[in-house]
Amino acid sequence: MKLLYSIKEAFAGFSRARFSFFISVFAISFLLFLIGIFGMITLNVDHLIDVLHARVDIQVFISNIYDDTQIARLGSTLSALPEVESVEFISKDAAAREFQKEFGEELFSILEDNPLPSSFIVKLREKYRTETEVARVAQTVKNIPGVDDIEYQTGALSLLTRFSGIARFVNAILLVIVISGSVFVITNTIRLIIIAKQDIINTMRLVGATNSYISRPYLIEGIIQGLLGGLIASCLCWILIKGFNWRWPGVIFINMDYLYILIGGGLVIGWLSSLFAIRRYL
Amino acid sequence: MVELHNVKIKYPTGDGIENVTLKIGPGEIVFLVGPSGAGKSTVLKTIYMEERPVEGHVSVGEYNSLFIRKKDIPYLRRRLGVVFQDFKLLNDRDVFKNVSFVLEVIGAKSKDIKKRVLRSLADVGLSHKSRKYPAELSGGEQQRVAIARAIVNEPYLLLADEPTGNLDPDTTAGIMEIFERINARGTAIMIATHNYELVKKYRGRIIRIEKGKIL
Ligand SMILES: Nc1ncnc2c1ncn2[C@@H]1O[C@H](COP(=O)(O)OP(=O)(O)OP(=O)(O)O)[C@@H](O)[C@H]1O
Ligand SMILES: [Mg+2]
Repeated sequence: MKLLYSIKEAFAGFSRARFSFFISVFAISFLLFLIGIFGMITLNVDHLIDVLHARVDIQVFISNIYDDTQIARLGSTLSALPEVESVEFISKDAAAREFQKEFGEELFSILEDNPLPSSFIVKLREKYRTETEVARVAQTVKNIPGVDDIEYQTGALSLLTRFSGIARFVNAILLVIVISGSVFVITNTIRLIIIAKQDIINTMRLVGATNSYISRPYLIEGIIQGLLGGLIASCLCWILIKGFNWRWPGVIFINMDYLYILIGGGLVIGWLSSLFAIRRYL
Repeated sequence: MVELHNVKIKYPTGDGIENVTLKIGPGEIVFLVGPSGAGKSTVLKTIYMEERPVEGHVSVGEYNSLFIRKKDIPYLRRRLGVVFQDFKLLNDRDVFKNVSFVLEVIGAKSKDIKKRVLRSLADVGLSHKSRKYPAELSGGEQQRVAIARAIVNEPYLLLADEPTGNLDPDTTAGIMEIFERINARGTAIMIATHNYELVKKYRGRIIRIEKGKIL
């Protein structure tokens, strides 16, 4: 009963500040949509980083003069390193097969011998899969006797990691802008409604209404604004994701739960803004 | 029940009331009479605690102006009925909702609310105007809505500020009859008025006020 009254009052309030209400919902939708897009970019970059992380490895080429027992011993030495997760042996033949797959057979029609060295693919533990750590471990490995050469690639990863850092930073700034913007527009709408109803509010006080009773409709008003903004923003994001996936299937990675965060975020922002407006103007 | 002791109110303009001491007992009818600007409304405001004395104190039931916390004031007001001089109706809702509002705030059951509001509107003869908005009513009708709202919660004290100011003699008689009826049910009444005729016609204790002082 009481809640019903408050909700009715809340909707009556909108008709009082309709223009401001629409501007407010529009602005919140736009701001949350912006956050949605940047959030998606960050999530995708992070996902890509994860994928690349999993692929970071060091290829260790073994000296041609090493025999099988020496190679086996080198293998155990590498496995014993604290940073190493796994070691996989690629024999000369396997390397040759790979080479053939890639370049065709010309090499072997020219040369009698297989010039490709055997190698180990050394995979590092999760926390060592960063540019600096990989470089450090690579250096260590390079100095182990029997290691002819090493090869590793972290270029793309470090670039992405840097980009991810920037994306996070932009996101943080954006988040501040979005939250303060939303709080501003919601607070302003509620302020306008409160001003329009000042006489009525005073009278309500005079006949025994408590502040919390008077303020409840405004609280609901703020929540509705934030919630609507969140819903619209998440719909826009959903359309964007679907469109993108349809045009370029499989290119982006997205967890749809993400959309609930936008809706929930809108709700919380609306709630906090109206709390603030009530404190300030009632 | 209600007691003002040496109350002083000073408005920024320098006007106000001073040295006001008075008592209202349970079930009493009191007329507060004086010319315009004498301080009648101000006295009533100290009772429903819209104004706080700068000197002296006011006690209303269990509450005292010296100790009452801001958040208790709504609860004090729920026990009183006030007919404001300027009515103070909620112009965004109809007559029925204006009266029911004071029951809504105390969380009464909706079935109860309906019964009591209809009863109260019948008392002031406005049952047929339940769905009208305040702006669609004459001054006298608005005044009666204000009265209906003030009595709907059966207050122990009714404060009526110039309650017959906009009414013709017949309606005035009708309103005074309502007051006597609810007084008979035990509600004390304080009527502020500059209408000495009214005071002469009806029974009740008279308190005179002039230039902010009780005579
Ligand atoms: N809010 C206010 N601010 C400043 N001065 C005020 C205020 N309210 C009342 N006054 C002044 O205080 C004095 C007493 O006012 P009050 O309204 O109590 O008189 P009243 O006896 O009710 O008069 P009336 O019969 O015209 O209603 C007047 O001089 C008035 O101008
Ligand atoms: Mg007055």
